Amino acid sequence: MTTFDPDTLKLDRQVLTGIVQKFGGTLALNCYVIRGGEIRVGDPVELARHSECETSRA
Amino acid sequence: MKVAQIWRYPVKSMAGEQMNHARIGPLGIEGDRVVHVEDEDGRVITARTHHRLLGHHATLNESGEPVVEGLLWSDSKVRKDVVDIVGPGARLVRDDSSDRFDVLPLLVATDGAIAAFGHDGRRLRPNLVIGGVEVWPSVRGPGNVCVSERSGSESRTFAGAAS
Repeated sequence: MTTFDPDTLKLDRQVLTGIVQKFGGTLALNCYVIRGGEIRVGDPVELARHSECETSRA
Repeated sequence: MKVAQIWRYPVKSMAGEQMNHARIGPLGIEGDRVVHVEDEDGRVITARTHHRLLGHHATLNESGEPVVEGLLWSDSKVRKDVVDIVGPGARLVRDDSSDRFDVLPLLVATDGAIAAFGHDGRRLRPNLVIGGVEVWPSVRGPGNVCVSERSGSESRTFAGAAS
């Protein structure tokens, strides 16, 4: 709910307008989980192609 | 790049909790959106139409049950608060199926995207915020996330566009 301030719940429709105008409506990525596991803040993240994602191992 | 933030929203459309670590399963972060609000006709109610739900804070207890402002989600006081917002007959419902997500189980944002956004990143209700991303890559979803087996104290998370 981008249009509401998470603390005050004040409405600001410009926030959503901005996401559409500045970012084409996509500001974050909806994702499937290919393989789950434990994660922790600070863990390294890498960008991978689909095939790498499926075959990668630590 | 690193995992910068982890968020879970045990009750759909309510405020959630920030976590230091989490277990990710096939349906995202365990305990995410496992309870939602329905109106008297059984329709799922979200903050899109009833934004005051966002003013309630939900966490997950050790038994995996959502707790709203310190009360178990099934407590009559929580239901009363929901009825006050949604109307008579509204109730909270547990649903662990994949139907509970609007789109996909995991919403991933980056610190670079949030900086460009210029507002509080919590507005996006992300599950993961990836840090150390200076420029927002122009990827369109859906994406994939896979977590590698832990080696030592760290796991390695891979994220990318699905196509």
